[in-house]
Amino acid sequence: MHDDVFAPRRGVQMRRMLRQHPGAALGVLFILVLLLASLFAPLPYDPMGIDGGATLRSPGGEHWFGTDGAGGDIFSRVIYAARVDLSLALAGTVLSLVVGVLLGLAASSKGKGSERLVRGLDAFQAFPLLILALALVSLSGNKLYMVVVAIALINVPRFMRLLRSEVLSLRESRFIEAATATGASPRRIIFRHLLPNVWGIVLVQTSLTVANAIVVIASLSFLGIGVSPPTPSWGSMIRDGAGNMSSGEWWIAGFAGLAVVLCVLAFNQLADAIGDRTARTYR
Amino acid sequence: MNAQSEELALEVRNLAVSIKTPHGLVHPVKGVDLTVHKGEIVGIVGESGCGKSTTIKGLLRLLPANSTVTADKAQLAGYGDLLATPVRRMREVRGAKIGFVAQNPFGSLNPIYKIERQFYELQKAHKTKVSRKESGEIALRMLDGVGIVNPARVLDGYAHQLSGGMAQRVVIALATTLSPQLLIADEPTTGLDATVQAQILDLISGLVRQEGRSMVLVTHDLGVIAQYCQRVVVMYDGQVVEHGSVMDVMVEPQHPYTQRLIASVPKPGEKLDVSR
Amino acid sequence: MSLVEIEDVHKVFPARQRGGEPVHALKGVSLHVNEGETLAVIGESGSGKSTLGRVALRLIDVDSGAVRIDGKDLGTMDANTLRRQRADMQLVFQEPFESLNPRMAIGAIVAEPLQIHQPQLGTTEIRRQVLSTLEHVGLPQSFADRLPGELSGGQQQRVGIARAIISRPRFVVLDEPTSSLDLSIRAQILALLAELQREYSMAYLFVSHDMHTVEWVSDRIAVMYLGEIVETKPTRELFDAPEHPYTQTLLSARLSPDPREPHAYKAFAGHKTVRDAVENQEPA
Repeated sequence: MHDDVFAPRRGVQMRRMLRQHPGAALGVLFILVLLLASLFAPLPYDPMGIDGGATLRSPGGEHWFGTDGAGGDIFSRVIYAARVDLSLALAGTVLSLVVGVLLGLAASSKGKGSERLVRGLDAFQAFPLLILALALVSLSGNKLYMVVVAIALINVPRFMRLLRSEVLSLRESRFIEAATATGASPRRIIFRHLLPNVWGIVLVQTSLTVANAIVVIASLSFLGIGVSPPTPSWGSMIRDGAGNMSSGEWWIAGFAGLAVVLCVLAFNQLADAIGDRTARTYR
Repeated sequence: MNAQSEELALEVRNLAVSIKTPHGLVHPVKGVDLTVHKGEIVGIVGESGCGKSTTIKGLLRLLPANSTVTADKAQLAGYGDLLATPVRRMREVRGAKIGFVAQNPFGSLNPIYKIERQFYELQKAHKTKVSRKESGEIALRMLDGVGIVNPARVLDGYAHQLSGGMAQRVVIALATTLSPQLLIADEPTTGLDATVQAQILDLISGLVRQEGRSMVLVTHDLGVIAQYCQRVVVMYDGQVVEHGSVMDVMVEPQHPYTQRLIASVPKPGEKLDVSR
Repeated sequence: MSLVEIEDVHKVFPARQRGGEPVHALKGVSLHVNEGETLAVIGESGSGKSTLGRVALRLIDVDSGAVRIDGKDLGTMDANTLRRQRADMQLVFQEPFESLNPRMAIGAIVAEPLQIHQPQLGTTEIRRQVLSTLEHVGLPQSFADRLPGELSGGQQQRVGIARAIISRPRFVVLDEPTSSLDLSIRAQILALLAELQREYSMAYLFVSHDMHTVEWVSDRIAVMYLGEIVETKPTRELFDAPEHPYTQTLLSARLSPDPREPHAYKAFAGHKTVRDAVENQEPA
């Protein structure tokens, strides 16, 4: 399929994108460091461990981010939580992307089938999806793969609608007509002409979906669903620390909250940068 | 053609426009002279990017804030120096002293007001007292004057209900409602069908001739210049390369650019010369 | 036998908005294009001329009537046969930029017809042919790696032409190929098209609204008005003796660039619309 005889230079664009959007570059760097640290770095304390002798310590030289009510080291736990939280968010996003793009393509073809698909989508989106996801995960007995499914449940319709609207407007465009006039097969039109032109906007949506998934996972574990203790997750740490906020022990919920905010910010910045680049190559 | 007085309607000397961009200062217009006598139609012709539109937008102060317009002189008869007028007061000049007809009529008409309301707003903005009823009567007369078949119905409708030609007629009616002595039209018929183009141009040139007004007609169409203008200014790369009476410039162009431009238009009865 | 035959074609587009009128774009149109000639179809916006150009390539299906190329009926062809047939019939667009995939390199765009119709040529040969075709339409070979957005309008149209001719079609529909271009570039593109036509003996269906251009390039002219062809004649004859009132109107609305030849548009000055002028005038 990709027997490209000629290709435009691409590497320069990527470098320029990161230079023009230092926020996105910083964000990508932050996520990478966080993820690698959670997977490989030696943590100062056992993230699952408890220490009855060192409960509710404030941040300092010994415990950089302080400790929680059970004496767990917040720094180790915040970093380690990225392992589960980010992996689940990324897995959920990939599933949303793949299913959403395929269904979106199907929904944007001509014919009765695609119309039915869109009707079904309308009906489906009438459900409060977050609550549906919540029910699904707790009914499954807090299986982690159900969290991934739940994220897909919420995000697949978004990918579908996005792809459908993009493809429908692209199908009307002159260069698609030109490809048809040249004798290109439907398959070739999809892979050579449609997809490359929706890719940018799909990437933007992907980045936003990761950000959304992080929030969804945090919300679930805040409610005690999904990731179950003692495995640390940002949502459950925020819940644990919520009670301590009023008595001045802000760090338990604070650092976990900060991790969520920074991750979401990073992915939003990345989405911005990709969106900007996509808009520019069009003209 | 018709009798022109020696009286000046507009005299512009050494008009220049510079625009600040992220890549530095650019100069789309560099020292343009433009003289318009009473009762005369002066064409500005050139290809895209030659600065012809920027020249008149600069004159009307319609350019974005990152641009600077300078000139030794920009004298509008019966008013004064255009460039000495603060930008915010230019609104009083546009419409009342100078009627402006842009290329895209739908860009000039407000899509959410009825046409009748737009005549009212225009008059209210310039005159202190006009009743809705008076305004409606004036509008009816103006639309009839520009050859609209059913003016009452057009007045009661919205811009999107009009064809391109009709919409441009409405814009011309609006531009002439306050009887400005000078009309400026920027590619008023580009994108319209040939027959509609001829009608619109006949209409505008008639409006100019009738009341001894003057007009600046910006176009890329040499046919429009030859058939409707008395004098022409040829622009290239922000400068005037040739100017003079249409008879002189179009029949015996002196500047090589003008010669090339005229040579690239098919003449009636001619076949394409492939060897070129 | 003519290369392209269009016979009594009707096409109605459904109304765009609810409550709108369906658009009867073609009302029984017949015409033929001979091998190697240029037939111009002239008409104003909404006359159905662009629809006709697409019908001739079966990019739009007709409601009734037949379109034949080389005696083969396009309407009854199955999808695969039709796709193969497209090597022999191509289209050049009015909007050069919009007709090029903004994310594909120029070389890849021009290579596409060959990759589709002659994949057996292999990458090296396709590359060679693309580069030589680019040169042929007056573009440097180095443009092959650029994106469409980096080119000027005239250059983009040359790319569109290169894509149309690389599979050596015998029939090309030119849909207002120069109306979005500047004057001096217009002439160059028309000259290029004429040169290519002579070299490869292609037949052109030249859709246009501009009488000057059409007079310059065509052998015969078909005049369209409200979905019908009202007059078809050899170019010279049509200009010397226009029969239908609409043709006369069109001709009288021409603006000569020579100020010594004032235009004769006054012929329908008494009428407020073109339609008026056409309908209240008896055919000569």
